[in-house]
Amino acid sequence: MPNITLNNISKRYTPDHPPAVDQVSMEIEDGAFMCVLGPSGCGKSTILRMIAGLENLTDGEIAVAGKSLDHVRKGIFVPPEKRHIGLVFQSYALWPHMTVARNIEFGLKLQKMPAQERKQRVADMIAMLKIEGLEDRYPAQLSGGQQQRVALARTLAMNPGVLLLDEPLSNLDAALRLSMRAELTRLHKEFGTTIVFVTHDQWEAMTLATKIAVMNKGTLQQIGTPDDIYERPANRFVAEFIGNPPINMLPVTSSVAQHLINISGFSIPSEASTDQAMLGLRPEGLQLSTDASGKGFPVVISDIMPTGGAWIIELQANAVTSENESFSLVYTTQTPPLWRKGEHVFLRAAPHAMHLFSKDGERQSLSINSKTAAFAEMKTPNLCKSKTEDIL
Amino acid sequence: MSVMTDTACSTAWQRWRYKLEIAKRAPTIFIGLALLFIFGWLIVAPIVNMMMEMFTVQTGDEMRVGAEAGQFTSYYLERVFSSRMSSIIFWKPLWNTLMVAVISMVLSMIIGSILAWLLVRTDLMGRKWLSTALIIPFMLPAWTFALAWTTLFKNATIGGQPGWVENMGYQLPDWVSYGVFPTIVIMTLNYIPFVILLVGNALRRLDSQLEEAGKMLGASRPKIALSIVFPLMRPALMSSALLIFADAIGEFSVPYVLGLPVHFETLATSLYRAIGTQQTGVAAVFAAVILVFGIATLALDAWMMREARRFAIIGSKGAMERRQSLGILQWPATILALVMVFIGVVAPLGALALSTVMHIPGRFEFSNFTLDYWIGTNLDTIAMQNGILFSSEFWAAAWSSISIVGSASICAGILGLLTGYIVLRSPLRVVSVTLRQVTFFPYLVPGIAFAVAFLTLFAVPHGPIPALYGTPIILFLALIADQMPFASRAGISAMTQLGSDVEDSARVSGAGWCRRMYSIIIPIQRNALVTAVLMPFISGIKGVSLFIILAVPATDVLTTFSIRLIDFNYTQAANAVVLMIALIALLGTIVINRLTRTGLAQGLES
Repeated sequence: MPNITLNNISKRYTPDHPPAVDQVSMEIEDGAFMCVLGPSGCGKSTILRMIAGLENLTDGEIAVAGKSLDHVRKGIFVPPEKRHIGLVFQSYALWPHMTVARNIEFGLKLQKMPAQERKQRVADMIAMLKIEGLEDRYPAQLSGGQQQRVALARTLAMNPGVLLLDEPLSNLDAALRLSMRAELTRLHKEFGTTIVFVTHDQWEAMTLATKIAVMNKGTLQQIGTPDDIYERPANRFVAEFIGNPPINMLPVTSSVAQHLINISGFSIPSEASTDQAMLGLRPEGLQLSTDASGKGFPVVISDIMPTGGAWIIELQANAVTSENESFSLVYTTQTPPLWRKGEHVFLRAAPHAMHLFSKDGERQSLSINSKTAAFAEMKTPNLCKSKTEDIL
Repeated sequence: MSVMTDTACSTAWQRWRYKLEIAKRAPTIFIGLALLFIFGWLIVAPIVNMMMEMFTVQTGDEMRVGAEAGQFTSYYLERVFSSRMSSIIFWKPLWNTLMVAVISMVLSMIIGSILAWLLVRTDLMGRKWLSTALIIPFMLPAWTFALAWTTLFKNATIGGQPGWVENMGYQLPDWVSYGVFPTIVIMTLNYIPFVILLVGNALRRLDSQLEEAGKMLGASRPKIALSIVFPLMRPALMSSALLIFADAIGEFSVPYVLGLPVHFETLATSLYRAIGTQQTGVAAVFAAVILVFGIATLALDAWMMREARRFAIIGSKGAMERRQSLGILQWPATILALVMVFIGVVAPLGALALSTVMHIPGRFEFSNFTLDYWIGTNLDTIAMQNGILFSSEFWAAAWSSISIVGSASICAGILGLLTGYIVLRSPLRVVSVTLRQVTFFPYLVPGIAFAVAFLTLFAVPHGPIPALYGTPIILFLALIADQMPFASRAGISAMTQLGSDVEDSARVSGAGWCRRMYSIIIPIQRNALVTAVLMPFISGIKGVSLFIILAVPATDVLTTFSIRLIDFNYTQAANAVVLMIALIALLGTIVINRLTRTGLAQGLES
C-alpha cells in the first residue's frame, strides 16, 4: 500500500487573497488513518481535493508511492481519472439517474471488468456495507446513512490504495455516527487502505484517526497522534481548538496563573514572563477543594451546568493584585458537584493540565522550581488518584 | 509549520507549463474558446458589421452619396435623422413605435396584474382552468391575432374579401380596421399572458405572512396593499414592463399586417421597407435605433434587478398560501376573467378557424361552409388550387420550417447546454463571463434588427464563407444565434442546479471527459436539454422577423408562406396555415410544461 507525500503544496485562488493552502508538507504513511482537522475555511478540504487531483496546485508536489501526481515545477499533472484514488464526497455525489447497483458498478465498467466478476464485486460491496435490498433504488429514495454507505461502496468497489473521505460523519445523526465510525475502523483494518479524511469536528478526528494534522488558515499547525495533539498542543491555536469545553486561557502574569504554577512546583521561564504569554488549563485537569490548607487559589462558583453525566462548573477568580482583575474559568467533572452557586472554594491544577504558550503562541515548557518541586511531586500523584477525596 | 526550507517561488514558466498540462487533460478551456469563436462569428460579427455598414457607402448609392462604395460616410445618418425626408421616414415611425409600445405596455400591465392577482391570491372560481386558458395567447404567434382582427374587422378600403362585421352590414371606419388602434389592442392582448406569468410568479413567492404581519399591526387592507405588497412587487412589475417595452419596440408582424393599408409605419416596418427597396445603409440605421432602445431598456432592467436584490424576500420556505375571499366580487371577477379568455383566445382562434371553412366571411349559412381551403382540389382560383392540406407548397413550407427550425433548435440546445457547462466550469472567469453575456446579447436585439445584421454580413462572401443569402444555411445560422438567449439560459440554469460533485465523483471513478458527458451530465440534464431545444423551436416556428428578411421563395417556410398568402389575399388559406403554426407551437409548449412544471415562467425570468 502506498504512502502519500505532500511536499510544500500551496494553493492560491486569487493573487490578492492569502493562500488557501500555504506550503504544507506532510508524509502520510502506508496504511495510516490520517485526519486533517481544522475550522471551516482552513484549507483542509482543498488539500483533500488536491490529492484527488480535482484541485490544482499553485506550487509544490504531491506523490503517491513515490510517483509524482502533481509537480508544478516539473510540469507533471496526472488527471483525477488516472490516479486511482477513492474519494467519498461530503455530499456523497451519487448519480441521481442511476440505481444503487449501477452507481457501484460504474467505475468497474470503466475498468472493463468482465460482467460476471463485476456482478460479484457489486454483490460483495452491498453485503459488506449492509445495504442489501436497496440495489434497485435510486439515490433519492435512500436515507442519508444509506446514501453514505452506497457512496462508500461505490468507492471501495474500485479497491483504491488510497481512500479520501470528506467529512465522513458530519451529515449523520448521533446513532448513525457511532455505527459508521465502527464501520470505517473495521474497513480500515480489513483493507489496510491508507485513509485520509478531513473534518472540522474534533470528536470525529479523535475517535477515528490514528494521526491528526491540525490546520489553520492554510498552514499546518501540528501533526501527531490524538493523544499528542491533546496532551502536548504545539501552539495556542491547537490547544484552543481541541477540547470541549475549550481550554482555559489566562495571562501568565495574572495572580491566578502565578499561584497555580507555583504550587505545582513549576516556575515560568524568564523569556515567557510577559503579558502576552498565556497559561492554558484543561477544564478537566482542575481540582477544587473546600480546604484552604491545600494552598489552592480562592475562587467563587458562579454557575453549575449539568450536561448529563458530567457537570460544567464556571468559576470566578478574583485576583488579589493591584489591578483587581477577574477571570472566569471552566471546570468539568464527572462526579456530582457538592457545592452550590456562590460558594467559595480553592482551585488547583494538575501539572499535565497546564500548558504554557509564549507570546507568539508557541508551546513552552514550564521549568521545575527546585524549592517546591518536592512538594509537587509528592502531592500530584495523590491528587490524580483520588480526586473525590481531595474535593471533599 | 512547514519544515521545508525551499520556499523560493516557482517561476511563471513552470506554473504555465503545469497549467497547460492540466488544460490538456480537461477540454473545458478549448471548448470554451471554441464556443467564444462560434458566438463571436454568429452574434458579435453581424452586429459589428451592421454598425459599420451605417457609415459605409453602399454599392448602388455612389451617385447619391457622391463617393466611392466602401468609403466612410455620414449620409445614411443624415438622411434618417436630419434630411427633408426624415420626418416621414424616421420621426413619424419612431413616434408611432413609442406610442404603441408604451400604451400597450401600460394596458397589458394593468389588466395582466389584476388577472395575476385574481389567479394567485384569491378564491376565484375555476382559477386552475383559467390560469391555463389565459396563458394560451403567449404560445401563439402575435400576428395570429392580427390576422384574426382583419378576419373580423377588415373594411372595404383595401379590397379583397371584407371582414365579418362588414359582411353583416355594418360600415367600419379605417381606424377600427387598421393602424394604431388595432395594433395596440392586439399587442396588449399578446402581452397580458406575459404579465400574468411574471407577476403571478412573483406574487406566488410573496409570503402571505408578510401581509398578515401587517394586518396584526392593525393596517387596513388598502394600506397593506400600498405599503407592503406593492413595494415588494415593484421589481417584478418594473421588470415585466421593461421586457414588454423592449419587445414591443421591435415588433414587426402586427404593425405589418394591420398598419400597411393606412400607411401606419413603425420602426420595424420602415426597416422592412428600406430592405425591400435596397437601402441597406438606411436599414442599418433603423436597426441600430431599435437595437439602442432594446439595449437601453434591458440594461435598465438588469440594473433595477440588481437594486431589487437588496430586499430579496427571505424565508420563501415558510411561505404560506392563503387566498383572499372575493365575496360579492366573485361574480364580476369571474366574468372579467372569462371575458379575457373570450377576447384573447376564443374569439381570435374561433374566427380564424371558422374563416377557413367559409367561402364568404361572416355569412353563417349552411351553403357558405366548406372544407375546400383545407382539403379541396381543383379550386377555381389563380393560385392555390388545392386546399392547404393537399397543396405541395404547404407541405414543402411545413417541411422546411420544421427542418430548418428543428435543426437550428437542436444545435442551439446543445450549444446552450455546453454554454451552461462552460460558464459554470471554466477555470477562466473571463471565458465564462463573456460567454454568458454574448449568448444573452441577441435578446437585446429585436429579431428584425438581427436579421438585417445577418443579411449585411452573410449576403456577401467573406473569406472562405460564400454568400449565403437565399440558402437555408443563413436561416439556420440566424436562428441559432437568435435563439441562443433561451437555449443558454436553460443550459446555465440547469447546470447551476447540478453541483460539480456529481461530475467530480465520476472523474475520480476514472471517467474521462467524453464519458462524463455521455454517462453523467447529459442523462441527468435530459429534461433541460429537451427544454433548451424546444424553447427555441417554439419561438423559431412562430417567429416572423428573421424569415421575412432572410427567406426567399426557394426557402419558403410556414410563416413566409402565410404572409405571402395574405399579400395575395388568400385569406382563408393564410389563416389555415397560421392555425397550423399555432398548433405546432401549442404542442411544443405542452411538452415543455410536462417536462418542467414551471418551465415557461422560469424561462422568462432573469
